[in-house]
Amino acid sequence: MADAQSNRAIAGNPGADLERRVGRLEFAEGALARLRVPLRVAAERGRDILTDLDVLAVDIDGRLRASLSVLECKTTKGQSGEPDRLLWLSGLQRLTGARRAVLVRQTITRRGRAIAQALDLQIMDVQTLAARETSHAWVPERFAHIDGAGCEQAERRTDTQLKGLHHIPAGLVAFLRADSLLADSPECLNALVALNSAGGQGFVPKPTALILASHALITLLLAAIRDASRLDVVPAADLRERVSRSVTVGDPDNSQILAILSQADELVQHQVQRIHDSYTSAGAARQDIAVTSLRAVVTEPPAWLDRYIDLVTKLRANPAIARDLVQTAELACFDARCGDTAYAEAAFDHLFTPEHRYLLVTAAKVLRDIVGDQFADAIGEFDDLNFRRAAPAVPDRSALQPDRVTPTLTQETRST
Amino acid sequence: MISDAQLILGFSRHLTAYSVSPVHAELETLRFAGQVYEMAWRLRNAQVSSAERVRAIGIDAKIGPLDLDRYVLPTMEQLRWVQCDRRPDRTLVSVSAYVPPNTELLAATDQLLGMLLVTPVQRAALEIMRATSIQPLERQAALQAGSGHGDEAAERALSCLITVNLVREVPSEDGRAAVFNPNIWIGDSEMVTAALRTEDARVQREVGALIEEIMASPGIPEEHVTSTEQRWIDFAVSAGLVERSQVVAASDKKFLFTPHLHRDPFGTDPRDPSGHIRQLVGSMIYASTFASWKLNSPGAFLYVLIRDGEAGQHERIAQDYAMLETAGTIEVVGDGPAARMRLLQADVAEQALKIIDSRGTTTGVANTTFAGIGEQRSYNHLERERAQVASAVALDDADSRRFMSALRDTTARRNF
Repeated sequence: MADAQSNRAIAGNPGADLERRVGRLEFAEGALARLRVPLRVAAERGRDILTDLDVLAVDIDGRLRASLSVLECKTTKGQSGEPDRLLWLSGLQRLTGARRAVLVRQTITRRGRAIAQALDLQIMDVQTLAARETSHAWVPERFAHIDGAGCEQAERRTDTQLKGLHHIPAGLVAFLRADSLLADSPECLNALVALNSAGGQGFVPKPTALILASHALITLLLAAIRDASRLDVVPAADLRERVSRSVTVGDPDNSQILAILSQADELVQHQVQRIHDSYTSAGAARQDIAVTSLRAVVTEPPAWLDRYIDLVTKLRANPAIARDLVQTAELACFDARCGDTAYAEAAFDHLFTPEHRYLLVTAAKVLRDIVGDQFADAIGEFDDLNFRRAAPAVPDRSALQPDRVTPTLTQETRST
Repeated sequence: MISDAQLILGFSRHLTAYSVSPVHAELETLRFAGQVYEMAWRLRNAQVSSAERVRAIGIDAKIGPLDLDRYVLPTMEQLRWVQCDRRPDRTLVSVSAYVPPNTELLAATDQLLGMLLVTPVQRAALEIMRATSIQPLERQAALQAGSGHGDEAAERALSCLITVNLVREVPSEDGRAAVFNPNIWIGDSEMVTAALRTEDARVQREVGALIEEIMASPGIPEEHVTSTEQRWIDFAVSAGLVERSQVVAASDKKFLFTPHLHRDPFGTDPRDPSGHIRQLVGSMIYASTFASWKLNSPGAFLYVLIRDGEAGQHERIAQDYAMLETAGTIEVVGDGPAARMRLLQADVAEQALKIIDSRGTTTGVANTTFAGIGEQRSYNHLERERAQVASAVALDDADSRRFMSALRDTTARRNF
C-alpha cells in the first residue's frame, strides 16, 4: 500500500492531493479515514487487487454502529466519464457493502446529479469541498494516514523490511492494513491470533513491529466496537460463546464442525482400539498411549476471551468516548508513535482526554494478551502522550492555528 | 468449593459488625485483603472515576479515605488493578480501574496474600473457616485442617474465629467438642451428634466431598452424584447434614440439598450471577418438598413467572424466599394471601427453567449422529502435507504440537 502511495503522492499530483483533502475532511467530520485502500477479491496471486478505494471512511455512531463510506475522487473536468464513474461507483458500493458512496469531481452537471439521485449516491464538486474545508481550517493539512510524513515513511520502511521477513504472511499484513476496515469481528480476531503465531516464529524489527501492532490495535478496536453494538441484540454471555466459536471453529454461527470432530474422535478411538486388540491377540503387551481428543484441541477457548468481553462491555458502557476511539488510536499510533506532531494540534484536543486514555490503554492491554509481548511492547501503553487535554471552550475552527500553549487539564488542576 | 477470595471478602465484611478487638489486630491482614477485594469488585465496571467518587465508594464499603489512599489503592496499583493519577503534591485526581475478569480475580488471592506477608495464623484461619463452613467437625479434625501452617497457629486461629463468632464450639457429653460455622449450621445438639458420628465413622472426607458437590449444584439428583458412594449419601442424610427430597409422587427421583442453599457463611450475598440460577433452581425444587407451602410443579410455576412477570398469591411466599430477594432475582409484592413473586431477572429464570426441564436427563454433547455431515459446507480438508504428518509416522511431541496447531488454524480458517 505504501509503495503505491509514494508513487502517486509525488508533489504536484492533483489526484493524490484531492484524495488527501477528501480524507482530511472525512476525518475532521469524525470518521476514521484511509487513502488508497486496496480492495481485494478472491483471485490468483497478482490479480487479487481489484482497485484502490480512493478514500475509505468508517463512521461510528452514538450506538457504536459502524458504517462504511467509499469516496471516489476524480480530477477530470466537464461531462466526460461522469455517468460511467457513477455507475461504476454504484457497483463498488454494493461490492464493499458501504452504506454511503460519494463521487467527488471538479464540476457536476445536471445529468450527473440526476443519475446520482437515481442510484442513491452522493456527489460533491470541488467548490462544495472547499466550502466545507473552511470550517475545519484548524485541522492540520497532513497527519497519520492522511499523508503524514512520519507515517508514510514508516509504512514504506515496513514494506521494505517485510520483504525479508518470510514468517509474516503477506496476506495477513494486507488484511490488517486494509481488509480489516471492511471485515466483521470474527475475521479480525482471527487475524490477530494469526499475528501472534507469526510473531512467535522470529524477531520483528522496528518499525515493522510498530506498524503491525498499530494496525492490529485499530483492527481490535473495530472488532470490539462492532461486537459492542451487538450487545444491544445479544447478552454478553451469548456474545462470549459467539466469539469463542469464531476463534476456535472460524464461524460464530456454526456448531456443526464440533459434531464432526466428535465423530472423528470416536472413529480414531475405535481404530486405535482395534489396533490394540489385534496386537494383544497376537500376544503382544498392550501399550497405553493417550489419544488426544480433536474436539478438545479445537474447542479450547483462548485465555484472553474474558478480557476481550470486558473490553467490549466497557466500550458499550461509554459510547460517547468509544465512538472516537479509533480516531484517537489512529493519531496516537500513526502520528505520535511515527514521530509526527500533528496529533498535538488543538483540533484534536477532544480526542485526548483521560477517558480516551483509559479505553485506549484497556484495548492495548487486551491486544497484549492476544498478539503477544513483542508487538505490544512496540506501541506500549501511551504513558508518554498527554491525555489530559481538554477541548477549548470556544474553538476557533475556521482559522489556522498559531503556535500555541496547549491548555490542558493538568495545568488547570495543578494550578489550583 | 468456597474460594479464598470469597472467604477473605466475607470475613472482612463480617468483622465490620464487631467493635475493634485484639482479634481484629491479629487478623488485620486478612481484613485488609478483604478490603482490597471489596474495592476491586466495586470498581470493576467503573472505568475512570474521580477522586471524590472513589472516596465515596470507599466510605460505602466502610473503608476510610485515609486507609484507602495510603494502603488500599497503592496495593491495588501494585497488583496492576488500578492506576492512580496524582498531582505533584500526591493528592489523588482520578483512578482508572483495570480490574481483571472475575475468574482471574478469584485466582489472584495467592499473589495478594503473598504480597501482604500473611502470617501462618491468618492462613490457618482461612483453612479452618473453609472446613467448618463445609461441614460440622470434631475439634481435632478442624485443627487438622489448619495444621499445614503449624499446630500452634491452627490453635490460635481457631480461638480467634470463635471470638468473632465465625466458628461455634459446642462441647459434647463425652468430653470432645464440635466446631462449625453457626451462620450455616443451626442446632447445637444435632450438629455435635453429626460431627462426632462422622468422625467416629472416619468418613469426614467422603461426606465433605458430597457436601461440596451438592453446594455446587443444589437439587442434584441422587443418581448423578459422582463424589462418593450411595452408603455415604445415606449416612449424610441420616446425620442431618444433607436433605433429601422426593419431588413427584409418581417418580422415585431423589434430589439432594445442603443448608448452604439458603444461608451464606457470612450472612452476605456472594453476588455470583451463575449462583443466582442455581439458587432459583434449588429454591423451586426445595419449595416443592420442604417449604411450608408446597409447590406442585416447579417448572410450571417458573413458566408462569416468566410469562406474566408475577406468580404466587400465597401468604408463605413473603417468608420463604428471602435469599432470592437478597440476590435480586425476585421481589415479593403484596402481603398476606395476596403475596406474589415478581421476577426481576428474566434471564436467570429462563435458564433455571431450562435446567429444571432437563433435570434428570443426561445432557449429551451436541449432536452425535452422522446426519449432520451433509449440511457442513465450511469444513476445509487439512492440507495434504499436514495430513501426511498425521498418517505417515508415529507422532513425536514436536510433530503432534505442529499438527494440533495446524488443526486449530484450519478449523478457525486462519490461513493467510
